[in-house]
Amino acid sequence: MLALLRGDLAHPTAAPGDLSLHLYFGALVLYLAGMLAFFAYFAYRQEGLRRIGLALVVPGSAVHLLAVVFRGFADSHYPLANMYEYSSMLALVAVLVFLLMTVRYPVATLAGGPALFVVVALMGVGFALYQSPEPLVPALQSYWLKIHVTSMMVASGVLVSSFVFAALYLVKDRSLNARSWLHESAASLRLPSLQTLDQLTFRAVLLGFPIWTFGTMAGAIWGEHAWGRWWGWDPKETWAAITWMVYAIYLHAHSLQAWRGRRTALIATAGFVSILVTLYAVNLWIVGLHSYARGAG
Amino acid sequence: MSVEARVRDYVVVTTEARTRALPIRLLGGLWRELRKMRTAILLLSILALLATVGTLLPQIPQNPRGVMGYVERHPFTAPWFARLGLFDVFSSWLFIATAVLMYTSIGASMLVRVPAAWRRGRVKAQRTWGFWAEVASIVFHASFFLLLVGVVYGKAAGFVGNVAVVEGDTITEARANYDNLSEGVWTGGHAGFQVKVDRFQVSYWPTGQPRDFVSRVRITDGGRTVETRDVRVNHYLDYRGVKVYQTGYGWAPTLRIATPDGRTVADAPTMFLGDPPLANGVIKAPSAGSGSQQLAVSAIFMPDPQLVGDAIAPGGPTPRLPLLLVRLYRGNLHLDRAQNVYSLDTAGLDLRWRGALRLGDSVTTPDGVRLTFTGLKQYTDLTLNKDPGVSIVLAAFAIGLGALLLSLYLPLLGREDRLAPPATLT
Repeated sequence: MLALLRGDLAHPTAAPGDLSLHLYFGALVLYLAGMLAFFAYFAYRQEGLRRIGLALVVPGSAVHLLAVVFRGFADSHYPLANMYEYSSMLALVAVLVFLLMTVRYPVATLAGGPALFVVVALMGVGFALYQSPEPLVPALQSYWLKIHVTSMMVASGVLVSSFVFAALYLVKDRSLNARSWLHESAASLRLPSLQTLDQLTFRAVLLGFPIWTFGTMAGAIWGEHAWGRWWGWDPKETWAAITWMVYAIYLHAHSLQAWRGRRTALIATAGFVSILVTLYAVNLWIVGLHSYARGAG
Repeated sequence: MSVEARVRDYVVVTTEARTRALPIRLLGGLWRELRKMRTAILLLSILALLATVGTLLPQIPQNPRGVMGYVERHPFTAPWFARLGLFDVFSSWLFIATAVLMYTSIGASMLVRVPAAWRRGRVKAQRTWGFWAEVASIVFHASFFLLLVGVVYGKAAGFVGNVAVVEGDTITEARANYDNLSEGVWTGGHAGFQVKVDRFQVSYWPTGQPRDFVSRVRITDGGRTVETRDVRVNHYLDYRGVKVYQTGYGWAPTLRIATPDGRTVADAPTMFLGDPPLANGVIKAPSAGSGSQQLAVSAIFMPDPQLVGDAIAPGGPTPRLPLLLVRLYRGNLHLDRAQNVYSLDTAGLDLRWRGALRLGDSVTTPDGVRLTFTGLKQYTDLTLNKDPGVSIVLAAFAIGLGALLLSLYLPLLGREDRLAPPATLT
C-alpha cells in the first residue's frame, strides 16, 4: 500500500488523477486480502480471522473513498461520468452496504468472501474500462447527473448483496440434494440456513428496489428536462425498466409461499445479471443516447 | 378439503354450468386467472422479454439504418421478425396487448383487494401495520393508472416538433414550420408566437468535445418581445406551456451562385449536415436556367482543414480557415419529384467544376458561373414541445414512490410478517 503511494508522497504536486488511481489499487489490494481473510473465517470459524478481515476491509473502504474524492479533484466535477468512475463508486457502495448488513445481521459475515470477490471483480472491470479524467459534455452538465446516476449506482451497490446471498442460497440448496457433489461438503454445512439466506436476499432487495425505482424516475424527469421526453425506449432506459421488472417479479414471487426459495433466489440472481447488462453491456455493445457515458461523446 | 367445501364447490360449479353460457364462463375463468399473482408475474416476464428483444434487434424509431442493414444480412428471419413487429417492438401489437393485459390484471386484482381492505379497515383490531402496508400497496398499484393518464393526456393534448434555425432567423410556432412534428388528437391550434435565434455559440474542450452550446432565443408574441433566454442542453425555455429545448447544431455556409448573365440564383445560408469538423450539404438552384440548364452544388465544409501529405483532412471544430470543397453540377434537377433537400442525385447531372473556396473567395468557372463563399453562420436544432401531462406524471411518481416505500417497510414495524395476498389472487 505505502509502496504504491511512495511516488505520490514524494511529489505531492503530482496529478490527483494518478494519486486517485494508486489509492484505487491500494483499496483493491486491501479488499483482496480481506477477501482471503473472510474465506479463511468461513473455513475455520476463528473470531480472529473475522477481525483481520474487517481490519483490512474497513481501512480499504476509507482508502477507496479517498480515491473517489481525488478522482473528483482530477475531474473538477462529480466523479460519476464514465464507466471507470461508476464501477469505482459502485464497488465502494457495495462494500459499505455489505458491512452495514453484517452489523445488522452478523450471520451475513459468512458471505464476506464471495461479497468481496464480486467487489474485486467490479473493480477489475472498472480498471479494464479506465479513462483519464475528462470534462463533462453538455448533456451531463446538470444536477440531475448527481441525483439520477448516484441513485442508480447506490441501488446497484445494494443489490450486489442480494445477488451474493441469492447465489449462496442456490449453493446451499444444491448441497442439500443427496446426489450433489456439494452434499455435506464444508461449504454446505457452514452456510447459514436456507431461510436466513432467503431473508437476507429479501432485505437487500427491499432496500435496493425503491432506490432503483427512484433512480429510474429521476432519469425520466431528467429526460423530460433535457430532451423534452420522459421515455424514449433508448437501450439504457429499456434495460433499467427490464431490471426493474425482474425485481418486481422477485417481490411478487416472494409474497407467494410456494415460490419463495429456489425460484426467488434464481430471480434475484437474474436481476443482478440484468443490472450488469444495464450498466456495462448497454454502453459497450448497444448504441444509444446514453453512449456519452462511455466517454466517446 | 372438507366435505362441506366439496359439496359447496359442486353446487357452485353445477349451477354455473347450468345457468351461464360457455363464453361467459370462459370470460369469468379468464378474469379470475388474470387477477392472480402468477399471471402478473407471467405478464411482467413477457414484457421484460419483449423489451430485451427491443434492445437486441435494431428498432425503426431509433435506428432505421440498422434495421435496413439487419434485413439485408438476414433475408430469412427478418421478414418473420417484421411480421411480429419486432423491429418496432414498443409499438407492436404483442407489446401493447401484453401491456393492456398487465393493466387489466392490476385493475382486476384491485377489485378483490380494495373491498377486502375496506372490510378489514372497518375493524379497529385489524388495522395493523400489515393492513396499512396493504393499503399502501393498493395506492402504489393505483399510481400506475395515474401515470398512464398523465402520459396519455400529455401525448394526446400536446405535441413535439423539431426545427433547425440559422442564427439571426425567426420561425413562427405553427404547424407548417416544423421539420417534423408529432401531434396528439386533442392538440388543437398552435400558439403562433415567434422564435428568433439572436445568436448561437459553441465552445469546445481541448479534447474536441463540446463544452457548451447555447442559443440566445428571443420570443416575440403579438409584436413585442416577451422573453429572451439562453437555451442550452438541460436549460430549456418555457413560454405559454411550450418548451424550447436545445438539441444540436451545425454549419450554415452561404455560397452565392451567379449565372453568366449576372443573375444571382442562390445567396442564402444552407444548412449542412455532419460533425462540426466535417459537414456536407447541397445547394439547388433550379432558377439558373430551364430544363437541363439548372445548377446544383454538392459541397463539403471544413472549419479547420489540415494538410496531410497532398490530401486535405478535417481538423478541429472551430473555424480557423473555413474551406468549402465545391462540386458544381448542371442538369435537370427534377424538382417536380419528391426528394430530400439534403441530398443530390447526381445521376443525369453533368459535373462542370470542382474546387475549393476559402471564406470570401470568388471564382468564375469556365462556363461563366460565378461562385462566391460569402458568409458562414451556424444553425441550431431546437425541439419544441407541449406536454400538459407533466404535473400528472410527477404526481404519479411521487405517490407511487411514497406508497412503494410504505408498502415495503410498514410490515417490518409489526410483529407479523407481510400479509399473505388474498387467496383468490394466488
